[in-house]
Amino acid sequence: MRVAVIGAGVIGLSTALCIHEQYHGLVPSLEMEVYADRYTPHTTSDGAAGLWQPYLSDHGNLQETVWNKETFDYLLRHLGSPAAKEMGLFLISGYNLFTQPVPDPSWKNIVLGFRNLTPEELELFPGYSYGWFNTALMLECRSYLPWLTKRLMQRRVKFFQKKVESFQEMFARGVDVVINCTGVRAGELQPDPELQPGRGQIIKVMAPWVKHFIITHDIESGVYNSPYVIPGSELTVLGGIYQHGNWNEEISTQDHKTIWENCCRLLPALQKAKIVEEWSGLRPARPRVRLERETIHQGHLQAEVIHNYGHGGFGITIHWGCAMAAARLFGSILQEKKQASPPQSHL
Amino acid sequence: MAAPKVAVVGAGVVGLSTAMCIVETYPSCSVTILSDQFSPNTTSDVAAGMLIPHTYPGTPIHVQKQWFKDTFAYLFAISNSAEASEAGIHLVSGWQVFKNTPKEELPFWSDVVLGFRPMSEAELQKFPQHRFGQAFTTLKCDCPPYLLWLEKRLKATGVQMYTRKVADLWDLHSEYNVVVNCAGIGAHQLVGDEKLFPVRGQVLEVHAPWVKNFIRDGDGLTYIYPGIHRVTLGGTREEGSWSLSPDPGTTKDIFNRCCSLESSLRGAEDVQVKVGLRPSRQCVRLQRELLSQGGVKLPVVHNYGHGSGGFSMHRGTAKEAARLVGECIAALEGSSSRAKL
Repeated sequence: MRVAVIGAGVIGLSTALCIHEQYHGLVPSLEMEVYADRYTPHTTSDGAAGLWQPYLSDHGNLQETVWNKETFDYLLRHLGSPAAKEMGLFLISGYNLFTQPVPDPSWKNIVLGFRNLTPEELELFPGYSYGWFNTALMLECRSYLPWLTKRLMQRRVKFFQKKVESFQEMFARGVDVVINCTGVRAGELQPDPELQPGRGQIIKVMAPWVKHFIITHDIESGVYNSPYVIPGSELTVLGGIYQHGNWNEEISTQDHKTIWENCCRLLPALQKAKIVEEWSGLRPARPRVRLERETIHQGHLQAEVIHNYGHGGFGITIHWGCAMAAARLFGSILQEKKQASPPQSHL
Repeated sequence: MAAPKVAVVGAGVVGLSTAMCIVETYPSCSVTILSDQFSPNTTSDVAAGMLIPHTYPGTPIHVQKQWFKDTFAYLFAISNSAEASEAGIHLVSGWQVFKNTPKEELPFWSDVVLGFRPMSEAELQKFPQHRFGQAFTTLKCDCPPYLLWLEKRLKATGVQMYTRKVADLWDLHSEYNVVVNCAGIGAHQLVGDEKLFPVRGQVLEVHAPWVKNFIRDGDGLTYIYPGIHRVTLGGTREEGSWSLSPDPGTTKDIFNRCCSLESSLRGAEDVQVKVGLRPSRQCVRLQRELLSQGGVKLPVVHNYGHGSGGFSMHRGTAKEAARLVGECIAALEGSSSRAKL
């Protein structure tokens, strides 16, 4: 049974690991390969700060709320393990700021210690009159993706640096199941008008005195178009750009100015921070995550694709729940194959 | 009196902040700081600088609360300004956890720090040996940065600083009009205060930049305080010990206790060990004294004995000490004008 995972961002690698962990014991013939043209640190995931936090509203996608919770609980369990440091996993507390009262988010009981901000705390943030405080998790992909890669290599999963041009290409090589984790460029394998880039840009600075994340919200301009500051284990990420439909991965000087001025206004202490890196990337935005099976017919053959893409700006937040859902879909494929062909005795 | 000459003895957080308050309140004074040690070799440099007060048994609670409020407000304003990183002041959130529910549920400072509330069940699950906890956000003053920032601001106002071991306050009577004694643990020898005793503290400073929250055991012995570049792991409270030498057995013990609160610390690197002697007393000695010998008088303001609460109370006590210096100057001016009559 040959399985090819296309895409080596957080979705591709975690889905690969989840499937391999669950099914390798049951299917000894399972051979898994990962194909991607970009590997860490050049994936979209590598540019993310790594903060676990869903969007403010789940837009009725209750399944996504469940996947977010499953991811949080999974990561929380790993916090106390010796692997946490290598994974780039740690707790972090911080602020969400608003210019007007808003309803509590769907994830208020998932994170730790969720509460409203006191008037004294709001004095820290002139211009904002309402907010939340909670403790959440950081999962830095610059560490997490190498950690996943190491786990996969230990399991003898093979890696190929290759841009896959079509699903057919995989099936022609004898792959039985393709796991499509191609993120923002999934449309190149199969057109998907619902998938659009949500362009982001960030500045990474040296500001080790910042110990809290600060996410501001401007209901008018939409998610991630308002300044945010997220301290990592080494550098602090400044951001606040979300441009729907913009495929340009180049750094924009206008966006740089916007980010810098807005974040320094938010946290005056940042004026003294040294700029270390800049990055621009494309969030794989979609009204809902595409997580489903598709049977592709090729003449009299049929092959299976499991799609797992379109995680927008919450890929890290939702990744493990999606990986487990993809693994369940894989299980149903296995089940069908077992029923289709009678068991052979191996003597 | 033209430009009263004030000497501040001691250059830890109390000495420097007291000098600062005197300069701010009485700009006509000429202030000089005399100390045998300056940063990075003061007791303050060993402290984590967390604004979490201890209670002095001998001082009314409302007074301690005012000192803490003054200190918190002062540092809060700096943390919110462009100076924050240079001054080493930053906000940090975290948890104080208790194995046994504390006698007082609400410490006197609970409404001064930010967002104080009991920990939720989910938060307590991270601490299986602890049954109760409090979550809040407070400030941390990193040393040496904070002391160096104070020194820089003092020098900008014309304050002079000299390395000098003052053996007796009276030695200063001919050069200065008022002496302010911020000698910390040094006051034991300097003024022979038997009520002042060291409480030895050993701490580790480690590289663990993923630790963003503080964790403190309510017994005050085990704590994890993330600073700008390093995390302080503590500690010990050894009453009466004068030893400044790090003890390797203690180092191991502190590390293990902290790892049991935060297991990721096992991966911490570059462990440095420091020792400081908290200048402890039933209450801070914050009062005037008039030394006199052979008709010559030297007014003294004492401001020492802050024990575990040096950082938490420094600005509040410095303001009070400056006020007392003002009283001394007024008294001197009063008597000198009487002398002229």
